[in-house]
Amino acid sequence: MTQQARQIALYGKGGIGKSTIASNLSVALADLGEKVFQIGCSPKIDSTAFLNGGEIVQPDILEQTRRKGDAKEHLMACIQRGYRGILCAETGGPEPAVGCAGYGVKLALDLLREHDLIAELGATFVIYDVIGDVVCGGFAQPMRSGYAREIYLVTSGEMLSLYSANNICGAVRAMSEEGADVQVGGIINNMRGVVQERELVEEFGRMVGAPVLAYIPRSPIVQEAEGEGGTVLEKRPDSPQAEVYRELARALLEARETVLPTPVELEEILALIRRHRAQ
Amino acid sequence: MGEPRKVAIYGKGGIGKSITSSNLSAALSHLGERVMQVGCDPKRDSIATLCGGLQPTILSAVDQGEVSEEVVRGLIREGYHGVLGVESGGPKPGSGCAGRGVLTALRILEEYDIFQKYGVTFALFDVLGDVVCGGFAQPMRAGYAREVYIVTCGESLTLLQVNNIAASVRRLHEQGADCAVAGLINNMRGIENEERIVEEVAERMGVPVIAHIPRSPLVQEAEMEAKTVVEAFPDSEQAGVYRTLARRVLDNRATYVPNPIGFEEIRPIVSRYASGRKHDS
Repeated sequence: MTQQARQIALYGKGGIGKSTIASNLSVALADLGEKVFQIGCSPKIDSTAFLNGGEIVQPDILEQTRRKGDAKEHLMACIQRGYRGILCAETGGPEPAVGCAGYGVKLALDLLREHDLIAELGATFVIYDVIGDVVCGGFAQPMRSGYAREIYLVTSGEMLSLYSANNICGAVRAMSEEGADVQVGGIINNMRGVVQERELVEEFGRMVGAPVLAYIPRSPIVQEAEGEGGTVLEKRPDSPQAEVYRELARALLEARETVLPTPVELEEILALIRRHRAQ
Repeated sequence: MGEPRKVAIYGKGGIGKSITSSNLSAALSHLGERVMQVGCDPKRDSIATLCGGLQPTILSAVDQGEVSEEVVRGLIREGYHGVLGVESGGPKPGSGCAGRGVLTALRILEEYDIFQKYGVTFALFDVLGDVVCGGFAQPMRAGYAREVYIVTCGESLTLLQVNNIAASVRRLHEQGADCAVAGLINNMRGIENEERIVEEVAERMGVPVIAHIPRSPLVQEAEMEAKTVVEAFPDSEQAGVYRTLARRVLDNRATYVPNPIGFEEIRPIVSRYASGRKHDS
């Protein structure tokens, strides 16, 4: 390998649709010639399932290392080739009530790096799909360690989702000030049908100083495809929704500028939502 | 004065914990309890409808320097019908552990004997339960979760989170912590057969459903005025629902060590009742 893989991370609130976006994006990038590696970084381990016929990719890295150890061959057994040859892995997490989920994720990523698996498998584009419900120090670990220099925020116009996105901006800023090499590439608006959602998220983007890179409309096609165990790009490649993900992939390949965001106060988010609700 | 009764409300973010907690606190105050609601979520919006908007937090005071009894007293708000409210706050995003931060705030309340000094008979902790890592389990480990009510709805991802919380309670109980579940509160989203879905999941886990709370537009209307339903619409059916919940919580002293089930068990329950809907219509 002469060239380092480009590595991005999608952060956002649990349940917001990060994994759906990540998986469709992975397929679209593969169609554009990238060798993609998608790594699910959530204890829920369901990030890559729709690249793998709807089945959870197993074993996850943390469970495997707990059971068998962290030798290279055991790690290789955690990496599956899914749809279009996309490389898939799940970090896993600690058992509930034990340990720190974020440190667990970091441990798994450290192992991948230690064995140089991203380069060895020839990946050119790595997507980390990271839960961002609580941005305590733990979940910020993957940012701190320089795994992904580009963070993309997945949000809708809902309050809790914007709150999480704002927290992630705060984490990026804090970490960058501590010397970590991390910035925000942009916001992906995964729309939920909130009133004036485009304008709302656009304005949020201006407030924190990050551009909105794409609008993903809500579509029943997503559920249909996932009900059949696959991504929209696999199951409904001719749909308008598939084109939305292809556009996102192209926009991502072109977007190389990143910004240092400025988080706002919760009151400002509440006021923003109230303004748009009143209109 | 003895120790106040301590009840913790857990649930996924956005499920309606704070609204349920605030209405429960308001209704308990009408039953003669001196209630203090402690928001244990970095979002610090737990007591907003009781005490008129977002309030400064204990941890922000810690950040700013000296913490004294006077400072802590200054953070306690007396809201609707004498209900007391305070917010723990959380660490700055990207640093520290949110769960440990919450525990620090709770310890500060104990250190200054706040519950005794304010004559609190009922302390209600409104706790974020999205991520049940070791951090968020800290308050459970420290005896703040002898009676846990988990707020849920009939959606599978919410029930998965309920299950994670149940698994944490069980594991910590096995390790010797004094924690148990008193019941589930079904804060309904309007899913078909939602009562049956939640009843069945609860039965499998070995815990009761203490109340089914119907969806009502009055909740939002009251929230826009920064009030609880109990305050804004005392004569409404919805206020009656919260008063019933308060009486049940007061009467219910039984607790259970839950049996967590897998997502493999939750998903079929949810989809079975969802597919039942298709046949019905």
